[in-house]
Amino acid sequence: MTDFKLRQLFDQARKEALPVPPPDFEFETLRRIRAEQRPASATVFDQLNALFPRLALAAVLMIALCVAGDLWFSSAADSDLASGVAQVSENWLFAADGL
Amino acid sequence: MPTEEDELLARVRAGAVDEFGELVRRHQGHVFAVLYRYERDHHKLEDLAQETFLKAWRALHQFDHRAPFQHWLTRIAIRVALDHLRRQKRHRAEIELAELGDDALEWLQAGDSGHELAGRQAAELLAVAMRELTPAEQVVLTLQEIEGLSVKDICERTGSSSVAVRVRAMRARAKLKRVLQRLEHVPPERKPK
Repeated sequence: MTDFKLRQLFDQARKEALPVPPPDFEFETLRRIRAEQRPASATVFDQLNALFPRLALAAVLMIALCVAGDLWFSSAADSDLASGVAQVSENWLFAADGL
Repeated sequence: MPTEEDELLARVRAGAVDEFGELVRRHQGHVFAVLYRYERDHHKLEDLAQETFLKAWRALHQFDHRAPFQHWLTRIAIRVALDHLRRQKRHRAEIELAELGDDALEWLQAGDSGHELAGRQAAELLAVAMRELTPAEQVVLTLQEIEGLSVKDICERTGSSSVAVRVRAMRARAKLKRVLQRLEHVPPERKPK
């Protein structure tokens, strides 16, 4: 394959007749554009899917609030270990009616 | 001063979908011509042309009027072609001699003194041989040798640097020459009947 032949190949390829768009091309293209503009009907799952990040964040916040609340309440209550053990002993070991 | 096409674009941006039809009508021939260098099947070509106009429609707000609308559309068409070539590359196998046809093989083996190949056969031979090039090489070589664009214009259409375009074009031409040389020396028993 010489440079001359390669050039000849490119020159000939350039002369090829180009295709003509079909008559309905414009119509079909606009149809696709209009279809894209129309919002697709969303199912319940699609809506849940779209809400997923917000729902997940709300769930995490709720869990964090519950944990924080529990910690706060337990720290506010009597947290002394000795009194806790004494209370358990009273309730369980020396109960009048047994368990 | 805004041109008539600028006014048309402003109306389309304002939401007049039907006016976009006018833009399609004006530029469809050009888009088909650009894409035909990379896809010869008419159905696939039509899909790629539609994809080009759809992408243009979606990105119309990004068009800044610095270059003519057709240049901007050409850049989109080339990107569509490049993506298409990348997808094709994953599925296409080696060149089969049956794809070339007798005339192309005869021309290849005739030496410099042989007859000229017809435009369609030359384009088909190039399309088949170019499959061994990377998609980016195919695009650069096509723009330079068939579309006849300068390096500067290719940079503008592809978004590549001039060094990248020059290197790619040189490498692509050398690779194409090697592929065609290999096809020149096909033994007679492997030629298509």
